Amino acid sequence: MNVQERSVARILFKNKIHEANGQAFEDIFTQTMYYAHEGFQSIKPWGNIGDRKNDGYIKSEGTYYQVYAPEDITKSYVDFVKKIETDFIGLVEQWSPVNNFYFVVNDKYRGVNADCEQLIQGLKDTYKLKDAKILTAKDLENEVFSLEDDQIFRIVGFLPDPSNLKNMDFSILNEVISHIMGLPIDLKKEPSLVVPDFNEKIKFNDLSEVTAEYLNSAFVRVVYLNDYLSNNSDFIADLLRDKLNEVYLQEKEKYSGDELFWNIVNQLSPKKQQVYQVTVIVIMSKYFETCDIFEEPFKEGEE
Amino acid sequence: MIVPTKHTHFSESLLGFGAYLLGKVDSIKSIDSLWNEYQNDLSKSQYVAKHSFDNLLLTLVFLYSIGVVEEKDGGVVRCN
Repeated sequence: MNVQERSVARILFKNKIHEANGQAFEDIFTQTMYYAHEGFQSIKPWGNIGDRKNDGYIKSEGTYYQVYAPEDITKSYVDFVKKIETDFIGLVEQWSPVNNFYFVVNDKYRGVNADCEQLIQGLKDTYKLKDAKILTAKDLENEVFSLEDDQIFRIVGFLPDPSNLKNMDFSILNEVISHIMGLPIDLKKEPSLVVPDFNEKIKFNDLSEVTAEYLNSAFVRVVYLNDYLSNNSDFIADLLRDKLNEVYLQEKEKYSGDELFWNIVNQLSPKKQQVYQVTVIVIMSKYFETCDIFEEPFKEGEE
Repeated sequence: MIVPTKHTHFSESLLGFGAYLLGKVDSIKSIDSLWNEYQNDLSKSQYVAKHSFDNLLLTLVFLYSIGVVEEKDGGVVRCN
């Protein structure tokens, strides 16, 4: 997995952890431990004997795990603290030798409170354990991402294939539009209703063939932009036009032709990266076509 | 946008949405039932523009401000 794939996999894993309460969390834990530790054995609760306070263990090491996954840990801290102690006492009564004890809790990345940490340290000292810790979601995440790729996919699920995604990356579009909306400028110009010939306007504004090629190919994808705008119809198309027009009016004071075009692209891109710049050009081509940015060509007899 | 513009279609404007909603107020209607009817029509493409619930409220405020609807028993009715 490359860095991007790993980042997406981590997001998927976090989502899983946030949704997993009770048995669902225990299943994630068990699956991870089976992959991560060869000698790990989970203990299934059995009739009226339950699991004898042992959710899973590594016999050769004397390492025992108890798993706890309440819906909201912050609402049950009193139960949580009690559970650590009663579970451990129940465990040492029925299993031996207990060298290491780990209480695995789904804290949903919130951390645990000081009482729990002190309690587990107290148990470690009293029962002379080699190690005793509370393991939280972040520890489980670290364990998962130390596994082989195929094992990680088995736990977090398969990543979406980018080649199956549509022509336009809507998350990038969203990011670009949010960035444009946040630009701190406020100039006003009434929108023009003129829609001239696209190619004629390219020539009139002294744009090179390369830039024209970018605009033309981007224009093919304006259909996806329109689709996005109509699905988010809170007058965003008009607001976007205003922002683009403002940037255009500002930049045209200093630049012209291709220089003007690329300065607008850079102003409107949240980052100087191709994915963002390409998306910005799609947005620009929509408003270029409707004469909201760049000058409209004069016909003979017009001023 | 209350009125349509170059980039806001009539159906996307509050004026267009207002005309549609006014057609739905044939008797006393709650906001919820108007929203449900709109969602139903949207899913069947009987109304083409997507509006948020906030827009529905804005549109009703607009219709109220021009005196075509009023409030009665917690619902919306047309003015006579």
